[in-house]
Amino acid sequence: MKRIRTLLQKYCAVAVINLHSSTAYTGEVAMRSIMITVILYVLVHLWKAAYSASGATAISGLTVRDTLWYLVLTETIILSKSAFSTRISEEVRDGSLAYTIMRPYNYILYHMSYSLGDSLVKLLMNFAAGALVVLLLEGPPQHFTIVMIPFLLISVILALVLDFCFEGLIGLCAFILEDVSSLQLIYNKILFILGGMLIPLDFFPGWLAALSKALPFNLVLYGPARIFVRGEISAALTILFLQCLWITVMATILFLLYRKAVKYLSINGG
Amino acid sequence: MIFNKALSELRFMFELWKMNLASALEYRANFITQSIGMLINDAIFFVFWVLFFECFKSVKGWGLQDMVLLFSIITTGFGVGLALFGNALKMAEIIAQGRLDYYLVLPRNVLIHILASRSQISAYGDILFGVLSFFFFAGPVSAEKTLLWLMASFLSGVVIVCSFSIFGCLSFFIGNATTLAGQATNALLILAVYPDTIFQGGVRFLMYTLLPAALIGALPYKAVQNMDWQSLGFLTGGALLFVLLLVVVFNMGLRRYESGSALNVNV
Repeated sequence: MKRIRTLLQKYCAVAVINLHSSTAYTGEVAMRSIMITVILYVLVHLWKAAYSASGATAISGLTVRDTLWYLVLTETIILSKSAFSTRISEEVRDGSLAYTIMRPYNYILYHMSYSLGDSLVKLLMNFAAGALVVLLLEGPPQHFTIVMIPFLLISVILALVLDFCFEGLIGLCAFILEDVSSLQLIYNKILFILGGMLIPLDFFPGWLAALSKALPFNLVLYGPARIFVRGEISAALTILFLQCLWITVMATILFLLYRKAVKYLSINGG
Repeated sequence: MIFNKALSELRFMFELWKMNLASALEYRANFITQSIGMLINDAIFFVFWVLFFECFKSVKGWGLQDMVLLFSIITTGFGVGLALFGNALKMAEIIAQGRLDYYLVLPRNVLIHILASRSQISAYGDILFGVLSFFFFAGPVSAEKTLLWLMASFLSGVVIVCSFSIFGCLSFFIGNATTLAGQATNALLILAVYPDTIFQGGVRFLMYTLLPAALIGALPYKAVQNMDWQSLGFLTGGALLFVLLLVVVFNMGLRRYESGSALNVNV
């Protein structure tokens, strides 16, 4: 028990150190938030025009305001998530991995804490900037209540952890391929469509919606965004359960593959 | 005299392009992977529009074929522009890190030398996507439409390269502008790849001036879709204006340029 507590303290400290380091450059982070304001400004106009052209007030149960707040959350998560696979790839190529895997911490857990610390400030800044645009141009979210805040926060953190597992699996390919940028690009594009970043899964044709909901990618973006716009506790609990389930599966695969991948590792430079 | 000088710079530019292509093809697997990766990247946006228009049919006069045509022009222009002048994306970084020194000591036009010294390999994937989408998914194709599409894409590419480079030149005036230039570049592309009719007022004005997204997307689209040579004329004027603006801004900035003691080796 004591050992677990010590371990938790160690990795929390890593997250906090990186959080502090991110807050030291708030100007830089704030400037990066310009992106989400431009994206949401464009999306507000696109979706308002689309709803207005169709004449419908709600499509698949989502009003234009729901859709826009949905997009605030998906864009916030995608722009704030950490690119763990790129870091592994860089460490393999420049040889620094030889030092980092020797240090007295678990390589995967260290990077997970590091990534979470890195993402938290970005999450706050991006959400604030995106929410401001939609709030000013369309109005506040319709179904979200204070009761849903803990569900939403936990779901966003779990989404980042699940994404970290996917990124980690891609990153491990760098032990063999060295450069994994094309794999990361494909993963991100999967998130764009099957994850529901560009368009809510509810708008998909039946077969594609069913396929997307059966795959775990939707739990990185669609899941938390759905909690945010629907405000239903039972649906939120189901999403949280599925997130935990998929994290267990993916994390187990990640740790097993990490052990195997270290054996294939060849390090250049240094 | 001026003609000979221009011809000599053109020859030099061709040599740089040949060298960039040879260098890209040397690492063939990387070339193919990056190009296919970008092709998939572009195709995902195509999928988005297919799904979007399944739901909405049309938005302010724009349908799926219109979006494909718009996208084919932008991706081809972007691809050609950055395959030939890949350093347009790196301008802010090059200036901020004092890496202009290498170009300044050589007896060549500095701006052309910087821009054409690098080719963005993934841009070949953009070109491939643009060509495929124009010929197979953007509606009926005729000889005149193809000619207009080629010219409009080329001019769109000119505006893209000039705008990216102008954003990069901010490093001359405000120090390291890498993040700001990156944000402006992304903002420009985001505004360009959506139907311009959804915007009104100040944003539309911005799209024809400071962030010339309309010159990259909407105006070339209009020229090709309506077989409108007048729009192509306006686009040509706009593109020339941006070339001129880039030359002026770059030369003004160059007078303020100071490099540090950083030692850079260009191979």
